[in-house]
Amino acid sequence: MILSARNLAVSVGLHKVCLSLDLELGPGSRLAILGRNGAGKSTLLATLAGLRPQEAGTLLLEGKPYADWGPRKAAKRRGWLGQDAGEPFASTVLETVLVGRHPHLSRWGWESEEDLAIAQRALAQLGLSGFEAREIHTLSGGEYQRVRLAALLAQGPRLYLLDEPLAHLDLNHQIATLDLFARLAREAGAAVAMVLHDPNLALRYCDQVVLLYGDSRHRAGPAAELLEATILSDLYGHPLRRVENFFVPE
Amino acid sequence: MPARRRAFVVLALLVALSLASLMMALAAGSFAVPLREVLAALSGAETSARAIVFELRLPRALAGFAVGGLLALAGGLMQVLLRNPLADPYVLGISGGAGVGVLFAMLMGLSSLFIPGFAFVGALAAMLLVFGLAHGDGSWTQTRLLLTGVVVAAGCGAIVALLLTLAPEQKVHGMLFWLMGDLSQAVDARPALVMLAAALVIALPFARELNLLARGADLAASLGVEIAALRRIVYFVASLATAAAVTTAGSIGFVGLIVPHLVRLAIGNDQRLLLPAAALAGGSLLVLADTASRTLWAPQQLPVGVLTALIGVPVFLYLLGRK
Repeated sequence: MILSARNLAVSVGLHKVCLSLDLELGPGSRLAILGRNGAGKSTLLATLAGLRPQEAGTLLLEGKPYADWGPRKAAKRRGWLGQDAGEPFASTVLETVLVGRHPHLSRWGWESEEDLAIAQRALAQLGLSGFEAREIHTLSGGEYQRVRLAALLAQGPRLYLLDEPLAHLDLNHQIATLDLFARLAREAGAAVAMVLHDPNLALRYCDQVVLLYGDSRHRAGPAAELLEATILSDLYGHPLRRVENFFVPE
Repeated sequence: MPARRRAFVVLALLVALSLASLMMALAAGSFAVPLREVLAALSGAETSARAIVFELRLPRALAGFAVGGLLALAGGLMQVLLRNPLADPYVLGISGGAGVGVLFAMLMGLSSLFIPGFAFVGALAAMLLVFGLAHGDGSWTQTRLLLTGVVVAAGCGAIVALLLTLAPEQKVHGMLFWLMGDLSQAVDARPALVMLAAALVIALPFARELNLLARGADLAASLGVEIAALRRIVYFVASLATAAAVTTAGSIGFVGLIVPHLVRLAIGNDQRLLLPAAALAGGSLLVLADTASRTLWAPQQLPVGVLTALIGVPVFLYLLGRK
């Protein structure tokens, strides 16, 4: 198992996100975390990334707790895409992507030709070849989001934890991004967990889901079982109806 | 050019600039010493200028270099720590604390020998106060630290104003002079030089981690940086560097805010290069500004902060407008 959680309880302040979550992410797994605003999706994802402590339960990355790996070794195995925190200082696209190579370099090491090649490849995978020298503050929101995704690819982990990976992306890049991670799961044996807002994309790209209700209740299970009209209507507090023969982007 | 080789070239150029600025400081003055004689005196020959070079100008030039380097380094570190381009070494109240300490000593009529000690104790007290208060509930956000520092600085400013009003008239001039910052009061450059070397030695191993911290604490943590420890190290190194600078020469403005930006505009924001480059550039700028301040209007001395601004502002605006 790449990531496994047992009886995981997560809370932020007085807000209980979940009380006893069980989760197994093996090679090829794709998990969607769904829920309303403020339900605790990002908090759960950051907990799964080992960036904040859980209240109870065990969380194992490739069989060991995060504390046993140590931050550096964990960073070679687990990548995390947070929500955009803003960049106070100017830098180029290439410098921003090379940030992902940090855990692979020694304390006094500088990025090698190989690291540059990895960064270039990551940029190409996100359709950003030729953007290397661009200043990040001149990019559009969607382009910057793809630069952050490229940095994550350059990090090269086995477990990808993505907090709203589709934020600011246009339709074709939303699909391209989800295809990219689906391919990483299928071909490279990666595991992917992502916070999404669109249950349709979750159904199409994920095999597992965690639904967070925001009142400490949660449901976890196969996407095909849990993503249906009554459960989702209850989750979002808004009636949903299943429609066939709809236009969807291929 | 590969990044590492470029870094060596840039640093070599800045070392040359530093040496040139120091030579100029030794040569220039109301009694001009030709460069050849400066070099002769430095190599140990008994020349007539030996006393002027060694006893008058060298300590002041070295103190200026150390103070400029400390301020630029501390400013660069504070800007990364607070993720705020407007941060400078004084933003967290350290110069305010030193000011309170010094003015108190002056008001009590203590000998000038005690002034550096009181400055250092005041700076240290402000630093620990801000750290303790910002740390209160265990959380340690940049905003909280910045706000705590700004409030402590404001409190110190009020006490400084109070001490100035209470002080007898004949002491006010000396107090104002200290507050403006000035290198003629620098007696011994060695503590500041040692502090500069120590700060660089402690900060440089963490330079690449600082690059990540500048982009966000959570991102840095996810890439394997131990955030809490790193922030503590950076906070204490930057604070002690500022305290050492203020203790040596009062609170000289401008260098700590502008030099890191100047260097960033010229060579980018990689802390592995930026931190040593800012230290060398800050040192050179302050030495040049101090030399100008004591020669331009001789025998009248101009406040060095005025000269750092007069030299730095056009350079900065040029770099900002360049594209």
